[in-house]
Amino acid sequence: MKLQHTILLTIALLLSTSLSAQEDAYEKWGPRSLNRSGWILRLGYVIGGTTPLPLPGEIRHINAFKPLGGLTFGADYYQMFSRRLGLQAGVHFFYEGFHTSADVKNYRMGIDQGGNHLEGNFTGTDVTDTKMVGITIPITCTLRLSPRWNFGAGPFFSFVGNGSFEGEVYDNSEGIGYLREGDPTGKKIAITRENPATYDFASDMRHFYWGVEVMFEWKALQHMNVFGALDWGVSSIFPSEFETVSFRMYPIYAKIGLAYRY
Amino acid sequence: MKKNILFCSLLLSAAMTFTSCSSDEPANAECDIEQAWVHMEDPGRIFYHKADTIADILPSYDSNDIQFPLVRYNANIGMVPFYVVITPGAKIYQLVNGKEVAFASGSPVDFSDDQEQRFRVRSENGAYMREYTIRIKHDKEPSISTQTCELGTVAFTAVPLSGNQFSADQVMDIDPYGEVPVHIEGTYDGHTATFTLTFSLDDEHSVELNYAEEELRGTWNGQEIIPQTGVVQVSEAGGQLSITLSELSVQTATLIHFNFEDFGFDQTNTFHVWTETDPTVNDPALWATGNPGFQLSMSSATWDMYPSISEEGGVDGGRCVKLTTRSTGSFGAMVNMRIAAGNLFTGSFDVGNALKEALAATLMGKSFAHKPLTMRGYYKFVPGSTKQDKAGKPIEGETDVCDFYCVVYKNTDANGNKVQLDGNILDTDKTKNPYVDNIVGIARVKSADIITGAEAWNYFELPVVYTQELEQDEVLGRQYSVAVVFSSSIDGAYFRGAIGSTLWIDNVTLMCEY
Repeated sequence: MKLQHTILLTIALLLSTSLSAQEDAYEKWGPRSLNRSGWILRLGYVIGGTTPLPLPGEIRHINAFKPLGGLTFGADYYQMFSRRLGLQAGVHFFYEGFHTSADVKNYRMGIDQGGNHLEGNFTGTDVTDTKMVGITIPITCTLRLSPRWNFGAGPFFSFVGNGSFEGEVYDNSEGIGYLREGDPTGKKIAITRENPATYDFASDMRHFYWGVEVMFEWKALQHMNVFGALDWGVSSIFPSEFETVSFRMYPIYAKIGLAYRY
Repeated sequence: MKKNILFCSLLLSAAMTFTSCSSDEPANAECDIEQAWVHMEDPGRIFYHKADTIADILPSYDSNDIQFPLVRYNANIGMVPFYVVITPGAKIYQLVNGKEVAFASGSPVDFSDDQEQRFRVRSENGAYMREYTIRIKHDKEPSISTQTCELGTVAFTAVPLSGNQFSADQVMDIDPYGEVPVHIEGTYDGHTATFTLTFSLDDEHSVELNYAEEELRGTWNGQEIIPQTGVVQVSEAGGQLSITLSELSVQTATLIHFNFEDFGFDQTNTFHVWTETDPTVNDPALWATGNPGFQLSMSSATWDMYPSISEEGGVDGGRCVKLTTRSTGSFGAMVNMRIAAGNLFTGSFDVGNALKEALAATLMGKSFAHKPLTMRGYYKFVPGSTKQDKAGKPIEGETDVCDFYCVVYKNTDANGNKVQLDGNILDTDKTKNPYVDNIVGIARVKSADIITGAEAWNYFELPVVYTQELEQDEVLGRQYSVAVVFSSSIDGAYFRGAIGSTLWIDNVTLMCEY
């Protein structure tokens, strides 16, 4: 976890130094015409996952999180209205996956299998793998702050064709792993890593969610952008009537990649 | 520039969200009595085992009754220091006339006269509570089932057989067993008559016939004789033999009848549980089943879909036990426990271990004050069509078969600690069944002897074969546990068996010495 902090901090520092260092002019980097429009083709890496926000007290400690590969590619059409202001909209295919392991306490969970339901409060380790494949349609207002730096923000809408939300629960590093069936006064059922209980909520996932995207683009070359974006979902990946996961799970993803612009 | 920094900090804060620990730890929601024990100066005089001062609490047990092992029938219990360990942060109160009085572990509690004491535990977060009933129960007085019968004088007409032999039959009315045929047989050599008395008490009541020599008094054709170990001096052959057995001591078997008539529903009102009413056993909660484990995997099942159910159509027209090997559905497959054999056993089921280590969940055997000699009863068995292995794959060429047995084992180790055998009970591998050497007697049906078919009840009688002598005092002092186990699939404990295998059981009797 420390490592991730360091990496992100380094990226942030690099970005700010490169920003202050560059003195390039609009004449060199454009736009040549004020109402220019065109296409941007993007290819990037996606990192992120789904998380409750704020992290509830039931989640005591995140043991591990790592991306399970992530890819996005797509095309945007952009239209400039002035030298600084513009609008982008496009269609991005994405594949994103994430693995988390967390120590939880009194964490509401349920398992559905073949019409049978086991529900209760779990204390122990919960490991989840989420994967989503789909398309995102971002609509972004862009603001050109300098000839090479472009920032944007706007809503995005995602359609998930194929999603998975599966995991297992078992004992934590202290050997504690149990489900109180029904509620905390129910039967105390030990669950260990030798015989974990697994769950799969794929069929309960929503196929549509939306959120807010903030992004930047930096013109590395005349036609080549480096871009980064943060997609912050504001709707849960589970419908509100799905009570087994008792808190709303928001998808939050960062993307970084290259874009060809013409 | 500012925007850039804003963005970076946004990115960072998102990352922080994933990595950082959450807010303050929430208060505990549980409110369990995790351990309970009493302190006594000389626990061995009060309880049967020194370790019995600790209550039997299964963490999984959602019943709020906490039971201590039985104390000796004559034990004198009054106010005793009572200790509890409860969920951290929770608070415990004693309920006095329905009112909560804060209770400190180690305070004296009145457990005299088998009275119930009530406690309430409130969770740290205040959202949950459990109300417990705790008591220490006296056992009933142990008795060696020796019946003394007043016989009075019985006259026999000895009939010469051939040569010097004679015999006589008489029916004696021996209280309380009704009419008992007595057969006398002997020889006469002109001076001495040697005879033996055979009392054929009915099977239900006798194992042995004891009488003291001096209690034998008799006359031979009116002449008083003084028998010496069954040898009577008489003057002539034939005639009237009159014997007075002033007091006949008949050691009878203790018969424990399990008729399985009394059943009810569990706390969740879903599946059957049995209540044992046999007065000798003195333990209503004698029987356990794997039904609670099945419930975890098949929450949608109704009572009649459970592996262990009560059914009409018993051997004597009443109810019987029907044990069926069931599929545990996709849930069971998830935890690699695809079937649940129907089972019924003396002991308890620790559902908390059902997913973790199924064999450890079936706690087999309960302390007994009797020594079983034979187990007999009635069964019907129909195997399921396809025996499958743990992975759910068919085992070619094998037909499922049921199993039933009675195991007697010493319930303490060399240090006096409690020994409880589990589903590994018949495993001779010490790594799985470390106390296998505690087993002193086994009666088990042979698979080859099992008759299949659902039409007629089959009688079984299995002698308990002992590998060592048991001390009577130890038996009466509950130093042995008895596990009576019925299962619809012989390898059900290892999740091998045929779905649909069905074993019906009824009217089981343990014939016990004392």
